[in-house]
Parts: sequence; C-alpha cells; structure tokens
Amino acid sequence: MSVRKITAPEGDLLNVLYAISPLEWRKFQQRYPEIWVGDHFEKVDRSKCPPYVSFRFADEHGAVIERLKMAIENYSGKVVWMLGKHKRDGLPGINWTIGPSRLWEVKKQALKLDLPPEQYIAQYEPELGPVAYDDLEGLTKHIRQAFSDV
Amino acid sequence: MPAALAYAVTPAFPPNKSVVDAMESPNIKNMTACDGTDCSEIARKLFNAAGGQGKVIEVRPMQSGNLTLYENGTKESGQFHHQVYTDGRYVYDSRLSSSPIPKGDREQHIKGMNPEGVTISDKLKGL
Repeated sequence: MSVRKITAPEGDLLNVLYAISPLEWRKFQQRYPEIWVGDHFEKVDRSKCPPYVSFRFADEHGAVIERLKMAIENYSGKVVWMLGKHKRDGLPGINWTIGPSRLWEVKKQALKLDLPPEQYIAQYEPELGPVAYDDLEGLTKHIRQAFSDV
Repeated sequence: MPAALAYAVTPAFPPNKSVVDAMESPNIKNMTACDGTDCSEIARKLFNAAGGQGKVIEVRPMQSGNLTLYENGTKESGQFHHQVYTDGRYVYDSRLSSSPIPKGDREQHIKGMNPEGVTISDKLKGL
C-alpha cells in the first residue's frame, strides 16, 4: 500500500526519513495549522513556534541513527539543530525529534512558566521560528544528500 | 464540531474516576503537551490507571499515513494510526478533549475528520 506523503514543506523531512527507513509514527510542528473557529477550520500563522519533526522508525537501525545524528551535527545553517531522544514510557521503541537546539535548552525556563518549549520560544524568542522554518529546508536537503546512497 | 468538545456525560453511567483523575495529573498533562510522546504511551498510562479494565483501541486510515486527527486544538494530518483508552462507554483522549467523550460521539468525530473512511479495532498494530 502506498504511504501518503506529507505535503507541507515543514514536514518534508519526514518524507526523507521515511525513504531512508519506514516510519511507524510521525508528527511535526505545522507552520500554518488549521484550527476550529465557530463552525469551520481556519488556517493560522504559527511561525513563531519553531519547527520540529518527531518520528519512530518501524525497524530502527543504530547505524542509521548514528549517521542521521552526524548529518545534523555537520549541518551549518542559520540555526543549530539537534536530534532528541525520547524512550517511550512503558512501551518499546524510541521516538526521535529533530528541532532547533533551543527547544531543549529552554525546557527548564518553560517548565517554570508551565509552557511547552515551543510556546516559550514563540513568546520570548519570536524571531527564532521564522528563521528556523527557512533553515529547515536547508537541513532537509542536507539530510537527503547525506543519505543519497540509500 | 471539533471545538465543541464538551460532550455530554451520561449521569447514570459516569466515567471512570481513576482515569479522569489521571487525565488531570501533571504527568498526563505533560505527556499530552509533549511533542515527542505518542498517543500509545498516553493510552497505556490511562489503561494502567483503570487497573487494566477496558482496552486500548486503534484507528487506522484507509491509506497508510492519511489519518487526520484533531489534537491539542489543531488539525493534524498525515498520521499512521491513533490509539486511545476506552472503558467501553467513554473514550479518554486527552489530546482531543480534557474530558471523557462518549464512545459513539468520538467515533462520529473521527469519521467526520476522515470522510474517506477509517477502521477502528482493538487489534493493535501500532505498538
């Protein structure tokens, strides 16, 4: 069965990752998500919330993770990116997140204000989001190239 | 429809208090907001809060990766599956609603979000 690709540019990295090795879970921060207003959906601009993609490989290989980590570390763009690890609570497997390193750096401050890190950044570092969305295109190209032999 | 998620609870058949309390706990609230946490982890926690009563059910789209959900106030497309805990009468889906939703209403909601069709089953593939 064919897998539906993500058409939003900020989710394209998930298509690249799926091509490297099939995913069984994926999620990403939408730049222009649809929210319910009254009796219909409306697009809103959430550019101030920095982008991230989260995923879990259906069959994870350590070599792929290492290579992905290296590719992210070697990318020199406008934003510093990182690969975050979340060991699933009570279930097997690891969920990975690729996002600007600031998402992890502000966690403590965000927690004090009872905010998720992306909302903290939207509020206190609003200039980061738009820059990161632009830079994510470069990172996606970079990772695609790094795995061009796969 | 999605924003009006204050579905009516049937007084004669109240939701499971232990699960409702768990949904209101800081742990589940953090998991609900955390982008690296998936729905299966939350469903499993709520199943445990119910003392193992009830079950986790899974929604899958007709085409892989084409499931649309309404989570944390936004439309989320491109999902492979979605798992939630149910006690048989109510569905406890903290990313959809902070309160339990009658199972039939939730089924109607998910079908409305996915007019091309979904399958709902307790045969989990997404773990």
